[in-house]
Amino acid sequence: MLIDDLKRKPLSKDINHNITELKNILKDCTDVIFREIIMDGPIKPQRMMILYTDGLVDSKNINEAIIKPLNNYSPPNKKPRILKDYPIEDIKRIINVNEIEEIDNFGDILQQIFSGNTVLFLHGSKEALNLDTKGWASRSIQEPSVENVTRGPREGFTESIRENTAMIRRKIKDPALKIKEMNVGTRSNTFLFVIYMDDIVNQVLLTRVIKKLQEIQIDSVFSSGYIEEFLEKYTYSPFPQMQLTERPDKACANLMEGKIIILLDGVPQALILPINFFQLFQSPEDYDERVIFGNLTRLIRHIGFIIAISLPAIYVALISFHHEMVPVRMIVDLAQNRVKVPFPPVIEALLMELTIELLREASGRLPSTIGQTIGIVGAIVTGEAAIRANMASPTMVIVVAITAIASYVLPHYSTTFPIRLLRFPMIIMASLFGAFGITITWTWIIIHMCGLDSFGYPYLSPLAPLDSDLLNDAAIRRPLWKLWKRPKTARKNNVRWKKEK
Amino acid sequence: MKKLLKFLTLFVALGLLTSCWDAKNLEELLIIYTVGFDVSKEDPEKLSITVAFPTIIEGAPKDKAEVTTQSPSLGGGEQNLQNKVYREISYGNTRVVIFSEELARKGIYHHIDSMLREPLFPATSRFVIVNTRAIDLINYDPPMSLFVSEFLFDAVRQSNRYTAVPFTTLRNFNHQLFTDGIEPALPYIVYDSEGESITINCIALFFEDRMVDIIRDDMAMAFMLLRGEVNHGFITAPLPEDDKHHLTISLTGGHTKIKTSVKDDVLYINQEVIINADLSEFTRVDSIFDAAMLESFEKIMEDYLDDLLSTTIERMKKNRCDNIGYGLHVRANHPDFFEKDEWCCLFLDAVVEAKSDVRIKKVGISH
Amino acid sequence: MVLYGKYKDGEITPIQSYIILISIMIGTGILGLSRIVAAVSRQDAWISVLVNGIFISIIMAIMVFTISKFKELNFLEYVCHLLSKPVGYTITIGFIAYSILATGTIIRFVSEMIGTWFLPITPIYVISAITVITTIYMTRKGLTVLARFNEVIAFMLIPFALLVFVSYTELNFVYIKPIGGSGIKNIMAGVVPSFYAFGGYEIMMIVYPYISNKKKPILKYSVLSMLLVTLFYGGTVFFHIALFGPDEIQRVLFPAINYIGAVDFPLVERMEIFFTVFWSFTVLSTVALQYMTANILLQSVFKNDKTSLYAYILSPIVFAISLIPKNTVDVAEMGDQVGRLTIFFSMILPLLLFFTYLIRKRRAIKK
Repeated sequence: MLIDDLKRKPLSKDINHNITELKNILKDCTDVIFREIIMDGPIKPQRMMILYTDGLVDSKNINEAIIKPLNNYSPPNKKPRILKDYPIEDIKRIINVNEIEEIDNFGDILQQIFSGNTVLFLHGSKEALNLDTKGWASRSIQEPSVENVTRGPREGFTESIRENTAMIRRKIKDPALKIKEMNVGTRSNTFLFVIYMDDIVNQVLLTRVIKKLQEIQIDSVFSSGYIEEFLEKYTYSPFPQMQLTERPDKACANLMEGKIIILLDGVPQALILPINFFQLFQSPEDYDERVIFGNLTRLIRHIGFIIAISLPAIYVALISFHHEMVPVRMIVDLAQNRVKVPFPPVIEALLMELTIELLREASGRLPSTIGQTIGIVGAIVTGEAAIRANMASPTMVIVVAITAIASYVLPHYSTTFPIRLLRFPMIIMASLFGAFGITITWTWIIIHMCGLDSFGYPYLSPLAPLDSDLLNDAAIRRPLWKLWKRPKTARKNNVRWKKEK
Repeated sequence: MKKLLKFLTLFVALGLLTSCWDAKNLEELLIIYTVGFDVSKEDPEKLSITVAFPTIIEGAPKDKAEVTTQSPSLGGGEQNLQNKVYREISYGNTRVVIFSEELARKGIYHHIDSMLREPLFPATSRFVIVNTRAIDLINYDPPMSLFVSEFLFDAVRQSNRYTAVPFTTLRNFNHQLFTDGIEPALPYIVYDSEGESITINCIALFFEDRMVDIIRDDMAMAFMLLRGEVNHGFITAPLPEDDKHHLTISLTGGHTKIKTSVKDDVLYINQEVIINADLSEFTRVDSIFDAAMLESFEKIMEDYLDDLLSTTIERMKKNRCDNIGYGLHVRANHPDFFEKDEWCCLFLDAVVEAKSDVRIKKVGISH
Repeated sequence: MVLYGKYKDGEITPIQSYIILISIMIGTGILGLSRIVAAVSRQDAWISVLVNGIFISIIMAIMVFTISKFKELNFLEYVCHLLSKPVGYTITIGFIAYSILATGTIIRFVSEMIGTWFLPITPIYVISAITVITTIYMTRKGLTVLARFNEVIAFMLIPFALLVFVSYTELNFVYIKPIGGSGIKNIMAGVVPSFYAFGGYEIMMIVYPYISNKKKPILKYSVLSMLLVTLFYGGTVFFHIALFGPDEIQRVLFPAINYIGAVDFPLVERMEIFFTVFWSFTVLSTVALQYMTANILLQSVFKNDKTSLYAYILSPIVFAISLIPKNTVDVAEMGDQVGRLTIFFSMILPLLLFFTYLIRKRRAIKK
């Protein structure tokens, strides 16, 4: 039976009935502990039962704050005669837990004990008490592993969702910062927080996102990728329509642009939406470094994007079609290198690219220390051996190496996938039609990107549709004191601060 | 519908994949770096075309090779050449085209037409004339470069920078050929086959597509000055009344102004060549920090150059062809007076005066 | 649902409409423009182009003025409103036919160009098919997406425009002189051939109803973008004549491409191939816009929701049209004939609409 169904099942007044029912549901769930407490009642000893999941609770807290006060309770002299048992209100006074809530159905009980709370059953009450005793071992806050920066805060999100919201709250001390709780996955029952700035976010967007989140039909959610696919419109597009970040400062900066952050329990990354294409090239560092260098690095990332997609294709086109474009001083060396290789340039390029992709996958799977070694050794040894064995020309190896380096310029790892993917059709088209093939493929890519939108916001904005206000902070950024307007993702006519004229 | 279309696209793509019509890999090509044209020895009516290409295969006995064929023109020769080699010939990287003097005197337009039509033939490949047979020059092993084309390319460029020869590409030649009022001029290479050395300081003057004259050394430089291509280089003038000592200037740049006027049906062309220069040699021990002295130097230089310029103009008048391009200015300024078919006669009758204006800027750091 | 900005799907911003104007005009015409015009008005070809540009800007102003009176109506509706229903439908269907024909012709032209410079052996139908498939992909998502694409491409036009200056060192401005020397009659005669290069701006009549924010000064900016194109064309022709001279330019098929090949580049040889790559982007957007015109008009005739259906249906027709000409000469002839049709749709039709509008207005006032 699903928890959602059990939510419709109320508790009975009889504690024994409730316990049997629960024991039945939780049969063989050895991690769930039932502990009986007998306390001195008004007339006779009062029977109670607490229920919690071992490992998710702070057992010291349970002992100190729940069991000890109940056991040691000595009833006051003036005994109420009418009551056989203490009512729930009295019990609440005895227990020293910071958060107490009454719940009245089996579904909620299960949900609470699985999220680390303790549930206390009283005899004769239709309600049970939900006591906050969460306390499981979690990773301490660490430096983000992928989005490193040299300057700026070094904390990253952790698996514990509460700590994550705390990190955001610490940065934005504003009541307009709303953290809306939701629940996804019929079986995993994962917590999900929708975080937004109430007076900046576009309300239409917000309701749409919440509606979409509610409509998600899935049994379990273990990572943000699960809900990403349900939320986005163009699942088959290689380009991500949401951004992932493990940096609270980045998440907060996006909140201030009217974007929505989705945090998922147990996932140390936050989802940012809506986004545009140029955002994928931005890193918090850009705003920390001096304006000129911040812009320079952004420019380099854009160039890297173009190089990573088209360089092998350009090489193939030059070698098989437009040799007259190669400077004469180079052409003899190129030809000498090529003459020993038995494959046509396409096959050579595809083989080498495939090798690089294999290496990348392999080094990612291995433990990080070995992974790096494998990566470097693999690249050097394979490259060297391929040249020695006349399987590839040295130029090809250089081209592939530059391409591989260039494809990592994007600040977030998962956004490098479109680059790696698009390279292959580009190579094939270049081998068929030379430079014209590259033109055609770029046309396809650009038109595809023009047709994309992220939650209603054009993907290539602010370039297309052109928006001079927004170009302030896209491929290049202007000084921060000029960025007083918020992007169009925010509510209309929303400014960061009033500009003094 | 959409699925069908996707399948269709895929199908077309697969169909295309199986055949790449134009893919010609670099190593499957015969990359020509030089083309040489000679008059055929067997049949004077025919042409002997030589192409030179690198062998690229490692361990081949020679780094480069040449192939020669006889044919009436390049268009016809292409087939013969192709039959003699084992890879597809590509003219896309031709850097230098060499004509022998003998052929150039007969006219070369027939042979370049096919170069002009072929889009892949580089429009910037250099044209040169050689005094011997072109094939000899192609066989020449330049001491500091693998290919003779690279060597000639750099050498011609260097000579051009020193105001010795013009810089004529395929496009330039075609342009000067088909534009009324200017005739082509090409660098002329003197190749000494015994001493295995090359000198580039002569200019071949053309009338239409036929070579008519050669001018050398000082006169070649004067020609370049008249054309307004004042780059670098040295000019040495003898000092009047003093044979032992010299005056040399090093050019730093300059330009030319051409003024034309028609008076009583007579065409007057006045040209002024402005030369900026530094003093580079003055072998007398006199101090030169004297304005009058410098002025006198400029005067000496100008007198010397004026002589040279007028001799050069006379030489061109003798050939009845205007290689400088005065016609362009006449056409621009007096469109009614200019007649394109009779320009050579008009040029002959015109009064052409060239004056030089030397401006010495620096005198050197010690003297 | 689109949250961004004010406009709905299928609409475009005013800026996009100007960019559409520029990018549909800069296309196939630029390649041979200077040759065609210089054949008539020789060294004054650039004046012809400028005169034509000003003339067309006036027509543009008239066109936008007229249609801005019918903000809520699309092309079919306002033509029907002004010229009665049967005439309106005839003109619209004529326009559709013309657009399809023009698309086919341009596609053939592109294939021909690509075939000459990039892929000489690849069958023309393959290049044509690839272009048609790309066109479908570009147009199937409607005008908004295509307009965005053009915005991206517009940034690519900047290096494209800069390539005009590459041969600066080779220019000789004496060819431009005498300014106005070919006579007013010839200059005016040169306006006619230069008109073909400007064809395509009639798209404003079709896209105007789709502009979201009509409060912006669309008239002013659309005339300005016409003048921008005029300036670009005028400058290009001016530079071309300064390089080739009025004589040689007539022997060059596509001066715009040869112009770039006139000088050597330090890093990349054969800059003209680079140019052709840039050029194919702009010409692809021209093709797609022309095709889009037909789709939008068909949509308004049959009152569908989407244009994507027509993008698929029309493609075989366009493909077939692109295969009609047998050789390069045929292509040029077909281009001329389509150019004649352009005169009707881009000059006579706007004037016709304008005068009908004036007459109707006067009548209304009288009543």
